[in-house]
Amino acid sequence: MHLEPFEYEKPNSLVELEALLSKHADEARLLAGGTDLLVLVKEKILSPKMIIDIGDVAALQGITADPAKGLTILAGTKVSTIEHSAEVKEFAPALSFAAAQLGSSQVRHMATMAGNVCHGSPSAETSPVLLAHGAVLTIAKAGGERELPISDFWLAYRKTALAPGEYLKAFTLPALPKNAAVEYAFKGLRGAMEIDMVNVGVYLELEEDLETVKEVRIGMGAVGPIPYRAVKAEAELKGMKVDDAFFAKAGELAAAEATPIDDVRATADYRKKLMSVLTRRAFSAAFARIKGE
Amino acid sequence: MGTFNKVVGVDGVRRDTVDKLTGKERFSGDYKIPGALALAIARSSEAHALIKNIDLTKAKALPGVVRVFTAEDVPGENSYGIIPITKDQPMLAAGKVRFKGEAVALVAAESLEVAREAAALIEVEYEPLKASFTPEEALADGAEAIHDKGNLCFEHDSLMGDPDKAFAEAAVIVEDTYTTSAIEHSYMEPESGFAVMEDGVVVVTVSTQNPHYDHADLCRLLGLEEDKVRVKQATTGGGFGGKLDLSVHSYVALATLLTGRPSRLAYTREESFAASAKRHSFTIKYRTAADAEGNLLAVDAELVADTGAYASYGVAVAMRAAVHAAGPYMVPNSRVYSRAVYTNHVFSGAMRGFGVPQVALAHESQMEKIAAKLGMDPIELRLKNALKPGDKTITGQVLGDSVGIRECLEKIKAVRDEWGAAKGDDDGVRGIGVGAMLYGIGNTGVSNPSTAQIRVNKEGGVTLYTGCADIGQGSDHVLLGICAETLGLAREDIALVRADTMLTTNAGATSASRQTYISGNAVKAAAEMFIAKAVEAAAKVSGSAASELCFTGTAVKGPDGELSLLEIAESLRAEGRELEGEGYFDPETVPLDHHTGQGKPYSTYGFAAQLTLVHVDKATAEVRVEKLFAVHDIGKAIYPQGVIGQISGGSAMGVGLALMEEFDHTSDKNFDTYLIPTVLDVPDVEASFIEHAEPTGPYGAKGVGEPALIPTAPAIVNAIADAVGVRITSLPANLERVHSALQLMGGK
Ligand SMILES: Cc1cc2nc3c(=O)[nH]c(=O)nc-3n(C[C@H](O)[C@H](O)[C@H](O)COP(=O)(O)OP(=O)(O)OC[C@H]3O[C@@H](n4cnc5c(N)ncnc54)[C@H](O)[C@@H]3O)c2cc1C
Repeated sequence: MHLEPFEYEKPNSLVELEALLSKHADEARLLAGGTDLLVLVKEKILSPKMIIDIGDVAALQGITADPAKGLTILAGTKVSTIEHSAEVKEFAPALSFAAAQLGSSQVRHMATMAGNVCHGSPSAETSPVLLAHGAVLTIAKAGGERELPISDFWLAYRKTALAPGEYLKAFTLPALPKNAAVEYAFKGLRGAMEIDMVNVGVYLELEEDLETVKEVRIGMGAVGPIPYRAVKAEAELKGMKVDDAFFAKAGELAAAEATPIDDVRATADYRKKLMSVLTRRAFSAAFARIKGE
Repeated sequence: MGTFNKVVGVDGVRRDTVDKLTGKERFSGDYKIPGALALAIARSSEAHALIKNIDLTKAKALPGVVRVFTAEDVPGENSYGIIPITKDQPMLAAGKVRFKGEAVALVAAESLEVAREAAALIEVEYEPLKASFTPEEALADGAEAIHDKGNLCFEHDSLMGDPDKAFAEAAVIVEDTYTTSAIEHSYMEPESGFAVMEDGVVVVTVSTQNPHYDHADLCRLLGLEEDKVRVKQATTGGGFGGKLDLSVHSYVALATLLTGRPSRLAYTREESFAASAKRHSFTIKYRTAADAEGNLLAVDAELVADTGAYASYGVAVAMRAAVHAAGPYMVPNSRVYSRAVYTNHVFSGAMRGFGVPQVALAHESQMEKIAAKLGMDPIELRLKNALKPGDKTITGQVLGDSVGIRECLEKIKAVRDEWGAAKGDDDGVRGIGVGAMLYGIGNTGVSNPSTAQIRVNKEGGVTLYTGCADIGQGSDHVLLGICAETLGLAREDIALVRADTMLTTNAGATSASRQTYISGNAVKAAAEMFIAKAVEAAAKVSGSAASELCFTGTAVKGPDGELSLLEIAESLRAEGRELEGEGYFDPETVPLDHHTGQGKPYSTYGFAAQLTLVHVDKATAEVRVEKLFAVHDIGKAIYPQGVIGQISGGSAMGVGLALMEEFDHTSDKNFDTYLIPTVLDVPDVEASFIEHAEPTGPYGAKGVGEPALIPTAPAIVNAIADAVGVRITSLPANLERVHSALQLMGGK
C-alpha cells in the first residue's frame, strides 16, 4: 500500500478540532472510523493533505434519550455502540437493526454513523432510517452551530451540505409520537459484508382510530445518486386507510419514485421491484409494531 | 508411549490447530528475510496482442531498482505447465500476451514501493490481436489463433454400447443445455513465497500444493540441474486447486538466481484475481434416455470448457468431466465428447472437483426431469439406477467392493421423510432437492504414485518423511495418524518432515482427493517395512526367531529382553544398512483409450448424496438454504472431525457455486464485487459419512476433499425447482436468474 503523504492530527477537544478545521478547511478530512475514508485514500480517489482523527474527542461520544427532545447521538459514536445501546433499542429499534446490518462486527466497531452519513453513499445502511425518523443534524464549526433536517443534507452523489470548516456534531431523532413506528428493510447479494442493492426506511403514524394514516415518511437508498424521500408517495398515502391495498400502494408509489441505475449489483428493473416489495413489507411491519403485534 | 491406543478413527485436537489460532504458525509472508529484494510484476493491459517493444529505460533509472527482467532473461525453457503434453505457459510473456494480467516483466528493487513504481514505468508497445472470450468465438472460423496449435486445447471422446439405438428405443428422453460460471478459488492467503541462495542452490519457500512438480518446472525454467533447486512448502493458507500452478515461485527463483540476493513476492488480492487460475466455466449439452420403468438407457453429452489463455489443468478437467458425465449411475450406453478450448481469459485450472461439479449439475438436473416425466420419486429413480459393486461405469470399469451410493441415497431418503413436506410461508415457498455424485480418487488414467520414508532419528524415535503438502486440509494429521496406528505409537511420538524437495521424495500433488488414499498407503507401507526391518535385524542380533519378537513402537521385545530402535539401527549400520522403511503406492489404473474413452481411470471412487431445503422469496427471488444434510461414503474416516470439516467447508463452497459465485473477467478485481458466501449464507451443515471400506485403501480410506462440494449445487438447484416449479440451468442461480424464473411462472 502506497499512500500519498498527509499530515495527521488527533485533537482532544472540540475547541482544538474546530481550530484545526477552520485553519485547514480546504485540505483537511475528518477521520472517524476510517472505513470509508481510508479506502478512498488507498485508491487515491482522495488525497487530503491533512487527516484529523476525531477518535479522542470525548465530547463527540455518547447517546442520550430525552422524552421531550428525543434521542441524541453524538457524531463520534461507533456503529456497534448504536447497535447495542439500550436507548436506541427502545426509542429507535429500526436504527439499532440497521446499525447491526452494517458490514461485519469488526467494521461496526470501527465505523461511525456520522461517517456513514457524511461519506454520502446512496446505499448507506443508516441513511434511510434517519430519513424516516426525520432526524435533525447539528452541524458545527468554530464559532457557531446550525441545525439541518437530514433530508437536506445530501446534495448530489457523495456531496453533502457541509461547508468548508464545518463538521457533523450530532444526530437528533425527535421522540416518536404515540401510534407511530419506523421500520427498515434492505436487500443485499448475500447475508453480510455487502453493499445493499436497495434499502428503505419507513415511518408510519396513525390517527387515534389506529387505521387512518396520519403521517408517513419513506427514505429510500440505492435507487438514485443520494438517499432521498419519496415525497410524492408520502403525500398520496397520507389519509389512506391501512389495509393490504395500502401496503401494496405504498410499494408501488415508492417504486415509481425510485430512479435506480443498472450496475454490477443489480439491474434497475430489479431494484424498482425490490423497492416495491421492501416498502410494502416495511409498512406492514410498522403497522404490526404499532398494534403491538 | 508404550501403551497402544487406537489412532485411526479417533478424534482429538488437530496438531496444527493451536499454532494457527495463536498466530505462532508462520506463513511464507511472516518470515523476516534480511536484505531481500522486493519484486513487482508488470502485467499486460491487453487480452491478446503482439509485443512490439518493451521499454525499460524509465524503470531501470528509478533509484532503488536493482534489476528488471523480461522473457530474454529466462535462462531455461520459458514454458511450463503441470500436464506434460501442454507446457504452454511462459513465466514472462515472450513476443505475445494471451490474457489481460499476464506477466510481461519483473522488477527487483530495494523496496516494494520502488518495485511497484518501476513496474508501472515499464512501457510496452502492443499490437492488438482479435481476442476470443468464449469457446464459441475461439473455435469460429476466422478466430485469431491464441497458440500455434490453434484454439482447441484438448478433446476427448468416450463411447460405450450403442447410444443411438438406445435413444431410438427409449420411452423417455430428456434434454437440456447447462452452463456454469468461472470461479475464483478465494483462498485466504494469496500466492506468496521467497527465495534465497544456499551453497549454490536456489531455495524457494512457497505457498504451494505441489512442491515436487514446482521443483521440476523451476529446473526447466531456470535451466538448472535437479540438485540446484530446492522447494520447501511453507505453511499454506488454502489452495483448492489454485496453488497447483506455479505462481510467485518462478519470479523469486529467477531474481535470486540472477542477482544472488534473497527475494520475495506476495500477490496482492487484485493480482491474485487477475493472474491465478479460475474454475473452468462449462457449457454442457446433455441428453438422457430411460425406459418406462425409469432404468437409464443412455447418455449423450457434449462438454465445452473455457480453459482460458493457457492449458494448466485443462486436459485433466476436460477428461475427468467426461469420465464422470453420467454420475453415480449405471448407464449401459453412452457417448461423451469433451473439449477444453483456449480463450483470452486468464487461464482456468484445477479447482476442487476438476470439472465434476459442473457435470453434476447436468446429470442431477436430468435425473429430476426424468423422474418428473415418469411421475417417479426422484430418490427412488436414483436408487434404481445407482451403481453397485461389480457394475460397469461409462468407461467400462468394473467397480470393486467400496460403492456406497445406495446407502447414501437410503439415508437421504430417511432424512427427507424426517423433514416432511416443505411448506411455504407468507413471503415465499420452500422446496427440497437431492444431489448425488461419484468421484474418482487420484489422477485420471495415469500413474500417480506417492512415496514415503520412516527413519529412526537421533533421539531414538521415528521420523516420517513425506512430500505431501498439507494446505490446511489436514494431511499431516491423517498421515501421522496412519503412521502412528501402524507403528503402535501416538502421533506426538513421531517427528514429521514434510514437503521439502531436498529431504522428502515425491508424493504427487495435493489434489484429486488423493493424499489420504495414495500417500496414506505409501506411509502405511513404509511403516510396515520399518517394522519388518527392525524385527529382522533384532532377530539377527538377539538370535531369536522373528516370530518370537514383537515390535513395540520404540523397541523390539523378545523372550530375552528388548532392543531399542537406536540399538537396532546401530547393528544395521554396521552392515552398511539403515533402519528405514520405504513406502510406495500407485493406484492401479488403465489409461483411457483415445477413441472410446474406455479404461480404468481410477482404482476407487468416493460417493455421496446431499439433501437441501431452500426457501425462495416469491417477491424478491432471494434463495436461502435453510438445511443441508450430507452423507459421504469415504471408505474409512482416519480423522472423523477432519472429514466433517471437509464436508462442511465443501458444502459452503457448493452454496457459493450454486447461488452467487460468477467471476466476471471484466469487472471483478477483488472481494468488493466478487462475493462468496459468508457464514450467514450457509446453513448449519449436517455432515455425516458412511464407511464402505476400500480394500486397497489405508485402513479402508478413500478421499473426501472434492466430493464434499460436488452434490451441493445440484441439490440446491433441484430444491429451487421443487419450490418454484422452474428449473435453473445456468449457475449461479443468483437473484436475477431466479427472479426471471419466477416471472416465467407468473410470480407476483
Ligand atoms: C468491509 C467493509 C464493509 C462495509 N459494509 C458496509 C455496509 O454494509 N453498509 C454501509 O452502509 N457501509 C458499509 N461500509 C462502509 C463504511 O464502513 C460505513 O459507511 C461507515 O459507517 C463509515 O464510517 P467511518 O466512521 O469509518 O467513516 P470514515 O471513513 O472515518 O469517514 C467517512 C467520511 O465521512 C467524513 N466524516 C466522518 N465523520 C465526520 C464528521 N463527524 N463530520 C464530518 N465529516 C465526517 C470523513 O471525512 C469521510 O469523508 C463498509 C466498509 C467496509 C470497509
